[in-house]
Amino acid sequence: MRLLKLLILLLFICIGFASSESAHLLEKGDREIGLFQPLRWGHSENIELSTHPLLMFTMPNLSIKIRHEKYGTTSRHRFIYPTPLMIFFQKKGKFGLITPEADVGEVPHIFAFQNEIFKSISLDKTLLTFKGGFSFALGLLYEEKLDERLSVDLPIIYPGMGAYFNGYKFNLGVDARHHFSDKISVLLDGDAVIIPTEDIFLESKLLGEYQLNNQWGILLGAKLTYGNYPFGKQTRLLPFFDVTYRWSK
Amino acid sequence: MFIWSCDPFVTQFEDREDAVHYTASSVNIPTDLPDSLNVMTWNIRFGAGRIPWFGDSCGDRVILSENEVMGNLQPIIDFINIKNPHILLLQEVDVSSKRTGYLDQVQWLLDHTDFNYGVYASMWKADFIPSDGLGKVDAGNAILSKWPIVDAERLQLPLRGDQENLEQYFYLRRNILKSKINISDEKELYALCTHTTAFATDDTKQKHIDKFYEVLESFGDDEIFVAGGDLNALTSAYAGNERDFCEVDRCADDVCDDDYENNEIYQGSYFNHLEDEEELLNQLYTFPFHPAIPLAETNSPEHFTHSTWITSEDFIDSDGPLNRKLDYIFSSGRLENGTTHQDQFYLSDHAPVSATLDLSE
Repeated sequence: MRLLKLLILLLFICIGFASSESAHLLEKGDREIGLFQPLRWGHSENIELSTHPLLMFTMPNLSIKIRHEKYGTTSRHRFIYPTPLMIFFQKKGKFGLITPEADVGEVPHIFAFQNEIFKSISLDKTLLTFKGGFSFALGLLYEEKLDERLSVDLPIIYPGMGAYFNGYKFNLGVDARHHFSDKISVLLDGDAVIIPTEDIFLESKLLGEYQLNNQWGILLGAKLTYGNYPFGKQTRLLPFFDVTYRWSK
Repeated sequence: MFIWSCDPFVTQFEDREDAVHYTASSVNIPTDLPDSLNVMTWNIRFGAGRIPWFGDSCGDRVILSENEVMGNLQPIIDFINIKNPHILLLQEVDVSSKRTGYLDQVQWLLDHTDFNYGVYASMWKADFIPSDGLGKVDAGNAILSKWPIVDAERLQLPLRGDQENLEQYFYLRRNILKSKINISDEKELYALCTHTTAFATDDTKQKHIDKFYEVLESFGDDEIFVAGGDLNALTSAYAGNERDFCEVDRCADDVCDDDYENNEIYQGSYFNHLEDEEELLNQLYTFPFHPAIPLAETNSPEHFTHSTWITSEDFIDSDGPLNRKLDYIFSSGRLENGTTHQDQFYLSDHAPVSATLDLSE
């Protein structure tokens, strides 16, 4: 049980590490999954679906990525229902990430929606992607405003929860993936999360990806985060490792 | 880069480190050299007052509201401003903790009192404590002074030896905060503040007190010091049958079964875990050290400084009284006017202790 909680916690954190941030979609019938990456599958030529399967039980989530050929762009629309996961971690004792005390109350129903648009440009061996997004959260049973003591004041998670407390947030970013060979590529990205009532949160990751074969790949890298949290400004470098598996149906 | 990024969430410390220095937003240093120095020690319980916090008072409270914290800190500074000590030794001060709204209490206390300078040493510093919703914690010891603090260091005390590795990793790292204060061009003194272990059942408490003594003993004959804090220890004035506080400390579901080693209620409420624990503080009560409260009076009700919990958050007459002395002041010179301020019962689970050091000698 303790291991499962730890795994769910890591998945929760690693949502922000997604390596697939380009306008490109998986081919129809192709599927890919990672230890910490979502399960993605090419539903059709113009639609890719994705979800975190393990998190599905505690944080129902689904993304749909749509290619808009007329404009040469892709949009992604993600739905997350974080309430069960937050309640899972709202407890006394170990793994109690969120305070359970009575006057804070139980986490209310929160429905979060993220909408992003991607534009990718190929420059020889480098794929450059620009993205922008708008997220909003609808809360049922919020009495006035979500109690700020329910927040998890950690890098990646805190800005990720920004829309729950503020109602909405924006994000902007640029990715550059350089292919050194068919097997080795490096991703460098920069993202800004703008929560209107707070400061801007900046994130940048550098990931190396090595394709062992047509199916297995290894990701290794780190993410640099900067933000003005409730306790003040903080910069942190976080490690990332993942194994991906790709297959076709 | 992958290796660099594996930065731990809990801050660990070297054996000796520089303390964190603070300056009040408005500085007004006394120009006259006083004949005597007023010093006070107080475990202010991070501004939680008598709120039943989950860790030590039979409660379930973890994250306090801003109103609760300010409602406790305001009367604390009112009292400090009335007593107006020259040097204040503080324990359990939060500087960046979710439980107290991330208020930097050292800076806030400096800005709302007549103190001009402060130093701080963390006792518990972690980006995130994944338990009970605690989150980020930075709490520790502080020394506030009217005069400039020219030098200050954090001396690490041994970690508890009776915990599992993971528990120990996220647990407290207690310390002695040692500072050098310039009262004038000719006169300087040392102020030291500590908060030794409360819950260890092995010899950790012995090590902490021994280290405190060792630091005080290292001062030269011509050096002046005032030292104090929450030692979480009783003097030899408490007889063997007066060292078990289980019945007054226990929560509703605790049972006092005399299982001193395994029953957790005895961790903080039994003062006989060590062999000859009655003698633990004797070395500090030995000349040339001078106590604020004489050894013989440390088991007198008027000098008790601590009780664990109250019957409710409402102010009820039946609460209290304080039932043991855990807070002490010692000096290289003779201390006078030793006072335990028991009337501040609801501002913390510890009463402040103050004394006056004659500087004319």
